Amino acid sequence: MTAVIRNMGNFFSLVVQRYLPDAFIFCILLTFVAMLGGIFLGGKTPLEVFKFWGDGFWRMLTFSMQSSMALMTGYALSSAPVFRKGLSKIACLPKNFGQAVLFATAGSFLLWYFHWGVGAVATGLLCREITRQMAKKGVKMHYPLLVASSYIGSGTWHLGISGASQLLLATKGHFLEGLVGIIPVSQTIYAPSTLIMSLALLIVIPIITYFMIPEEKDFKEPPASLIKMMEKEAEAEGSIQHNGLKTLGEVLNNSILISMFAGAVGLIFLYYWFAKWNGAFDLNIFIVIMLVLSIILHYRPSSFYNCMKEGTRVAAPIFLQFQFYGGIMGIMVSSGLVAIIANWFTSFSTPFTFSWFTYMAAGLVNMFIPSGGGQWTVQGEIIMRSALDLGVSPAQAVTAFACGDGWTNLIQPFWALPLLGFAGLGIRDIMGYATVVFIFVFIIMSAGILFLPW
Amino acid sequence: MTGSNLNLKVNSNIETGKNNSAAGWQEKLGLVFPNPGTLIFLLTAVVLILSVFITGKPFAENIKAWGKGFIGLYPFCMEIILLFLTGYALAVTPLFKRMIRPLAEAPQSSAQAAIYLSVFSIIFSWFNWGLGTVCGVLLARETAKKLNLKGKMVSYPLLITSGCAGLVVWETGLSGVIPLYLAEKGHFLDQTFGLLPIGHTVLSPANIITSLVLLIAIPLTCYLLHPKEGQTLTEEQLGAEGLEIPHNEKLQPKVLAERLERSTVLNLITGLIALLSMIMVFTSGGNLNLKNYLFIGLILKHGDVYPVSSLVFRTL
Repeated sequence: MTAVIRNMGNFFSLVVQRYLPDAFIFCILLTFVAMLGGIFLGGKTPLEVFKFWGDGFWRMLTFSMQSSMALMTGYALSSAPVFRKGLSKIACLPKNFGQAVLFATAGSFLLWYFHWGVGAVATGLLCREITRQMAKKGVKMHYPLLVASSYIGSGTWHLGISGASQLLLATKGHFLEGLVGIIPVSQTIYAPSTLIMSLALLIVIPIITYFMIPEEKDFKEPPASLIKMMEKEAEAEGSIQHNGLKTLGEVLNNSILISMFAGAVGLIFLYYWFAKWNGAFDLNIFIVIMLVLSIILHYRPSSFYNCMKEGTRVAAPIFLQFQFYGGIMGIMVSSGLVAIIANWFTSFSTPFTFSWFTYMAAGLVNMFIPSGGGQWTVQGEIIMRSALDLGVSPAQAVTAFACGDGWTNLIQPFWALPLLGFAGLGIRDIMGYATVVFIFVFIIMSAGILFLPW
Repeated sequence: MTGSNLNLKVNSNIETGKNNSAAGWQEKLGLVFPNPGTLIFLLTAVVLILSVFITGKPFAENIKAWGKGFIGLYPFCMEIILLFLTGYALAVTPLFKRMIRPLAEAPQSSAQAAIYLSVFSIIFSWFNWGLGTVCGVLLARETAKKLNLKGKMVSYPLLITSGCAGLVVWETGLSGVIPLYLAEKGHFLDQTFGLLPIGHTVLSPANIITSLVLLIAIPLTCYLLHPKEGQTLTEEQLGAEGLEIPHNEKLQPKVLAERLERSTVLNLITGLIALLSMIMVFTSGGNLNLKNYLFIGLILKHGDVYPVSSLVFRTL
């Protein structure tokens, strides 16, 4: 069994290295596919499709900036001295490369299970720190697999406690309340069947990634540039104090007082948000928390500022590509492609197979609309209507949707962009391994959806 | 507040532009001036204190407004980033470099170059500030190198400054963020005075006259600022990126994936999509605003082999 999985890993890695283009090109090709779909399946004129693309392109601005900010603040936080020490203690735990892979995989699963925003950024931080510790100990590693292991949580996140579609169904006044009423999360996220499925995934996936470790002669060490960058970071840590504070500008740049003040403004805001205004934990608040923590933990404005500047490198792919995904989403939604796909899958479903086909449809659409909540708003109504027609429980249908929405992330580079930014790798380096996990996740999820009691 | 933010953005962009030559000037400025990041913290403090004491609004309300404003600026931030990236991507295309390169030969002395570069920078920045500043700096470097080759003394800091002179006019030019933003549906002052087409702002006679006056006054100032004596360039300055066109490494793309990455056709098609999408907007009664302006950048971006993504990476 070990050998089979290892060979699978090697094989898919080879295929992906050869055929999968750069993430940006992948995105452009998806755009073409969506356009052709919009024209030939959706029956729209080409000019209309171009307009949908343009509209979607710009609707994405806020989300791109949010993601970039989450990433840059995450980067700044990770390089803050105190945080680094804490994280490195955790990252110290694995003693050899095998343990490191198990650790990264389980860590990724849990972080994504907790919150997808946290998962996207924090897995990058964790992976980086594990790499640093491994390099320090002189452990030989297969770096691409370590990074791939850090990515797998994206495939299961929608079953977790930040699952967008389930949370939405449990929110008063949600857009399908007239159809299915309010479905409490105890029937979806915390339903025994969902928990069993999640647990099975948590146990099986780390084993798969562990088995995929190639023979030592095939190991690929992290890129030299990354190691150099890490060394530079370690150096920079000690050097701040040595700067002479000769001028007013320098005194201000290194004034702890200023940083503490800026941090305090954010902290007070957070206090009011949670204590007085009963605000919820969402992506914006996550960013403010990261920002405040990194300002404070960097002690000095200059240190924080320089790290944010470095962080823009990590965020570079997002600046461009998220806009293009916005364009794809615009086409998918406005041309009615989502509805066509969902209806087609429903057309040959029986009450027994409906949830499974919902899962497949969600997986297919997710290739084009990687944002989970966004996808639910366009696909949810069709799924719920058909579920009621066929007498399938809405809770089972939405869980199937959630499975599918996460599942294909494993073969879609969108959510890997932040991680790859941290890791300094390209999409081709990790997707082969993610594809093997993709297959096993498919087996577990299919079995869970079809045979667990709902 | 928005205005000062924008200026900071510009400052930081110049600073990240690997502008070693200006280090001397920046050092002097640094005597009193903190870096943009620190300045933002200080400005936050000043505005917060002022608003509490002058407007008399309770502290909590001000903090709430801070959070709202912080999050509310996201789409605009992203637009600015894209504006700069597309401008840069355009400026460093081989086609553009090839077009501009002969220009570096023209000036015969450093003082002439100061006038020459500032005129060039102002004109280009008026059309697109990202383009203007990047081209301006690249051209300034190249001009300085050429003069140095001819054995002329050069005032490098002043030439670079002249190359950035366009920053004075960009905000009132065709890529001015404020006028373009105010021409955009749903801008944040939409309720107060509605849409403001650029015919009333950028293209109004008053603005055009002002721009023309600046086009004369700034180069003159640069000329008068020029010191009597220049210096020869240091090795580091000679090594700075100018308008050299990277010789096309004829790397044979090995696998299908790489061939796709280097495909010119893909780039052109993407540009075409953006173009058509923009035409759709114009024909349905839209006009030039920030978003459409960005598309123009996207369309023109690249006729050559390298994928835009690697360019974006280089910008940062």
